[in-house]
Amino acid sequence: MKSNTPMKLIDRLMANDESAQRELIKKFNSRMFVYFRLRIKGEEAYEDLVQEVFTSFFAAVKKNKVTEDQFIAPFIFGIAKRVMYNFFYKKKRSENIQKKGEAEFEISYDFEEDERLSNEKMNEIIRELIDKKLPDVDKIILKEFYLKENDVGEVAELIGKSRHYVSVRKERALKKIKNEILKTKDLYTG
Amino acid sequence: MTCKEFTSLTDSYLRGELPEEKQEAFELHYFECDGCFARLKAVERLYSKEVPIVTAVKQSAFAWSELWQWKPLLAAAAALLVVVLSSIFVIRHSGHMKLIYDISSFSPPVYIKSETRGPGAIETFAEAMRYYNQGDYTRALRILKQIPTPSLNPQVIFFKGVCFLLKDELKNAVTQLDIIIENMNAAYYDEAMYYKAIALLRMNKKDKALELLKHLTGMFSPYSPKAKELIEKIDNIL
Repeated sequence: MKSNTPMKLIDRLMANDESAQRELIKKFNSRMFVYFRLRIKGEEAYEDLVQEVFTSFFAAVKKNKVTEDQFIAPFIFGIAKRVMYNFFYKKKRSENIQKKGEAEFEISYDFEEDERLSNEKMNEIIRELIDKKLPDVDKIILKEFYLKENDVGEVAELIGKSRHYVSVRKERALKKIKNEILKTKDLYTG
Repeated sequence: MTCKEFTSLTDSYLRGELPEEKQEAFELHYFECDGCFARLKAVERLYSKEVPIVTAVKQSAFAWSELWQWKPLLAAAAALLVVVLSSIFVIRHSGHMKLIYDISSFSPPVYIKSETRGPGAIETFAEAMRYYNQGDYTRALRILKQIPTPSLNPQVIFFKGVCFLLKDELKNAVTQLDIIIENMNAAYYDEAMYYKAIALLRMNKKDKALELLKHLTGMFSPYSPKAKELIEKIDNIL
């Protein structure tokens, strides 16, 4: 069975095992999307930025700059940070982001599709928690909010309660699920 | 940063309230720790408004103590039941179909305009819904039919189905509602099933209608109590 530690993956990559590149990207791709999404709110250039990080990372790998397991995550984080600052700098100067190092390392990977699948897995986990942990009235309230995008007034009308009641129950339900998530140890889906 | 500290800072990070130094330490931690990243991502998604909430639970999981939530609905249902039961003697000798129409009578689902719902911004749809809310289903349907097929969304299909049902064009109603059901469109799935069951019942396909209604009672939906009530009526009266 193939090992999943990043350094082992890099060794495999250096031995021309192409699947290792995909596994490495998969391991950090979602982190990158979350990082850029929360840092660069309201922008839609995430995929370009994620690609830029991986291009730089694999270029460094090719030059043997990455040699120890424990430094790989901080190394990638460092690149992501630089790419993010660069993005704001270029934006400030009203310049378009140019992809760097494309000739150095060609990456053929659907970053957004990977993130979409990762989100789906996470949604499934949240659905299960909601199903198991909330009473039906809270499920109805969340369903009306999320699926039908009804506002507080509409949900209140539907279930025959006050707006305040709906609002409080919704917040409590979300908080309850959030606390369940934070105390769950084995959420990581790989 | 420890995992415990990370957990305690998750809310502040998502709200963008951490000072830069702490924020970076937080970010570095989730780049390194699989478990903490998974929890952060789950919380982020929970608040992202993109999580499709579960729509189906077993009927046994229904908390009866929560039934009072449906007080107005149950009161209306009880009143309706009394009316239906007291009418039985009167309509005993009238046609079978009249009976079916009586027990499957319903108030058309209310359309509430919302900027974020479906094609609310499309003028044509808005116009159709104006007539719908006035009870002019013929005109509403005529306008709904004008909306080009590629731009159809579940909301348009659903109200088209309901308009057909209200106009007693039952086959057309079933066809439209089936599109919602087959595509498992979560926002209108349960409603579409309920109204399809009514259409089937009025087409004299009692068994198929019952099958659909029973399925609906096992779902988690505001339409489950309605389905249960209709099943009872069918069992008792038909």
